[in-house]
Amino acid sequence: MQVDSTLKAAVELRNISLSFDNQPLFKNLYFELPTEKITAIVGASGCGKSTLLKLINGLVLPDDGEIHICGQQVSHSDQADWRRHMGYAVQQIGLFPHLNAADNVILLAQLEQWSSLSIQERLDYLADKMGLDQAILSRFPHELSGGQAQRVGLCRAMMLKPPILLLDEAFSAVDPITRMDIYQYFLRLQETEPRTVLLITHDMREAVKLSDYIAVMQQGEIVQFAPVEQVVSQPATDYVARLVKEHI
Amino acid sequence: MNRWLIVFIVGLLLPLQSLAKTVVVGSKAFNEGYLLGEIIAQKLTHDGFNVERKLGLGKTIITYEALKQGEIDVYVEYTGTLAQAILKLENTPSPSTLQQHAKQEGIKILPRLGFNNTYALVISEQMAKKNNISKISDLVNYPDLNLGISHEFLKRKDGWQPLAAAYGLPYQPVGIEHSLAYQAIANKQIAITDAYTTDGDIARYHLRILKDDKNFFPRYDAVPLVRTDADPALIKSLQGLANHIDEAKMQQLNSQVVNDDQSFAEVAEQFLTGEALIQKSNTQGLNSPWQSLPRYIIEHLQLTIVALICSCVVGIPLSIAVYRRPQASRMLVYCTGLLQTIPSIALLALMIPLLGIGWVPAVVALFLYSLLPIVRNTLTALLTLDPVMQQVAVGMGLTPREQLRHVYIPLAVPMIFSGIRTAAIINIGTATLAAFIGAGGLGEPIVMGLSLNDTTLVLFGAIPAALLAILTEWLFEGVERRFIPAHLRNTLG
Repeated sequence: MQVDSTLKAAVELRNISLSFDNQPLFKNLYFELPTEKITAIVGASGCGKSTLLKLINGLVLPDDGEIHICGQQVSHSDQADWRRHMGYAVQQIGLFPHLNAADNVILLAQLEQWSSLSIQERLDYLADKMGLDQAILSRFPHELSGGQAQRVGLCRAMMLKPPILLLDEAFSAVDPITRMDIYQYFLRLQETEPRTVLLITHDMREAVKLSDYIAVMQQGEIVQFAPVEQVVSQPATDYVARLVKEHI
Repeated sequence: MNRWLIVFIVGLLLPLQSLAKTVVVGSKAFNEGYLLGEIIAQKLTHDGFNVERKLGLGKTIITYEALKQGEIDVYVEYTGTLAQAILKLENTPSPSTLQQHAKQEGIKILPRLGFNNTYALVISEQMAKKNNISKISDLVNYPDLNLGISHEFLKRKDGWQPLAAAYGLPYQPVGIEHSLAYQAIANKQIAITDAYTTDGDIARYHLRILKDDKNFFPRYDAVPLVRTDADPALIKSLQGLANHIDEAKMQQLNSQVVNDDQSFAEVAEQFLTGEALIQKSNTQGLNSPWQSLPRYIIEHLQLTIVALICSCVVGIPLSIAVYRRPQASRMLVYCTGLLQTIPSIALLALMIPLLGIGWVPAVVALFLYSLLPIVRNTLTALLTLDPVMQQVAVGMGLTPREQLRHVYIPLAVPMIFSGIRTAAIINIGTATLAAFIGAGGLGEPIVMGLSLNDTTLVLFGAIPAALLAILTEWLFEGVERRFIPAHLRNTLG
């Protein structure tokens, strides 16, 4: 599948409705991800931000509405095919315990039958950018520190050079100092290899630090969606103002 | 590698090939059964037949079905058992009527060997002489004697109660374990007990059999049974044994085995040469347990390994195929669990009409038993996978097949492996029962030893079986240590 990632919005959700147990979560939600920018969705737990991410990679199905990826409307069955173009990393990381760090990273490339040379080149490049040395790569997941595992998880998500990257609280499981380091690694990589990133986080500080755009979500609705500076300087609602004030 | 695999499998299947055209002699699993089987086997060998022994086949019904199905060609049965337990007749009819009933089943009764192994009451010779007691009706005059009657005889419908009624016996007998009754008589704790008329211990304990002067007990004449389509030469050879063994002779032969520790083969050979039924034989009877041990072990391993491979080949893919469907999974565990609840001896008996006796039904039974641990562990492993693993595997874009191949199955391997390990250990234990249907293995000395009350012989089967189980544990542990990384293992060790 050819991905034309130069279009304005890499992902577009149109008129999405979704209920759980007759409790409506989204009603006619509209949302788009600007191409090759980092967009954070910030909100309290239970506001629907993770569900929104899962709508994009098809782990959750909408009751109604359309999903467009790189300008094409996709059905649920297409979404499964699209997943390899959308890197995915989660808070619990979910490294496969029977594979060492390197094998976790390269699994998808092997399945895509990349040549071993390209696999090695890509692995070296990612490891270098994310500060992972050979010793770390040869360890099994249970032998890695939280920060190392998190970086391995990010490398795995970016192995296939996906145009879109979905990060579900992917930096949350480590201590604040380690987190700062990982931000640096991540931003450096984003500079050399820009891609459309959706960052789900409950932490406004993280959003401000990493993103170009912030969408604030409250009870299934996006109450403000704007460039970072604007959200910080001109909060659209009291809730946004409180989030900004409490965290920064 | 592949060639060795083929050699290995062929080696395992080799016993199947040994079913050449031979006369197969069967017997029930108790010492008189073994002995008569051995006598028949040696007689047939002497008369030029190629003989295979499947002695100690367990209960009546297994042996009889084996004869009917053609798994064995001859065994010795008792007319009373044939009439009542097998043909379900009310009482034991005349020989010619019984022959007609048997004929409808495709069975031919050959002339009686000469003795009637029925129930009897026995009393110590000394007491009998003192009081001049020789027949059961004499007992009416001695109401003060103590009777100790075996539990089974107390309960049988042709046992104590109708006997007491028929003779008007005035006793309240106590129940006693048969194996202790003779000792109790020797110690004068009881005066009279029930016995089999050919029991080898009767002479040893100096007991007198009281004459059944009202012909209460049904006749249990020992007769060889063959199928109606049996080779005439076979029948002729067996007819040569007719009326050569009376009760006293049979008692003596039984005693030689039980009390003098002679082998069945030796006793049979002495008897046959003594009666001039054969010349000094060069037949191979049952070997000594040491000689047979390698064969027992090899047969045992063949049974367990083939069954285990089959249940892996069937159980694991089956579990993988159904695990995403909760109802089918539950059904599968339920069915394999149900199989596990069938007592092994019953499962073996149920299998005779379908598969006969011998190696194949034994492997099938073991296969069915080892399915449960394998299926249950495979399903549990797949159903209890960390949900995060599943979410990530799907979310990163693995196809369902790739999810299984690269994530779920590798993660399930340790648990599947311990299921296989459990199945292997269960199989080694259960395979001892295969001897009941003539499949050999370490159960053979156990079954024979039990029937002879010979603990040493039982240990010849039990100790190697226990050692095999321990070795298997070690082997699996070694394989696990070699191939499964420590952080993925889930064992006790």
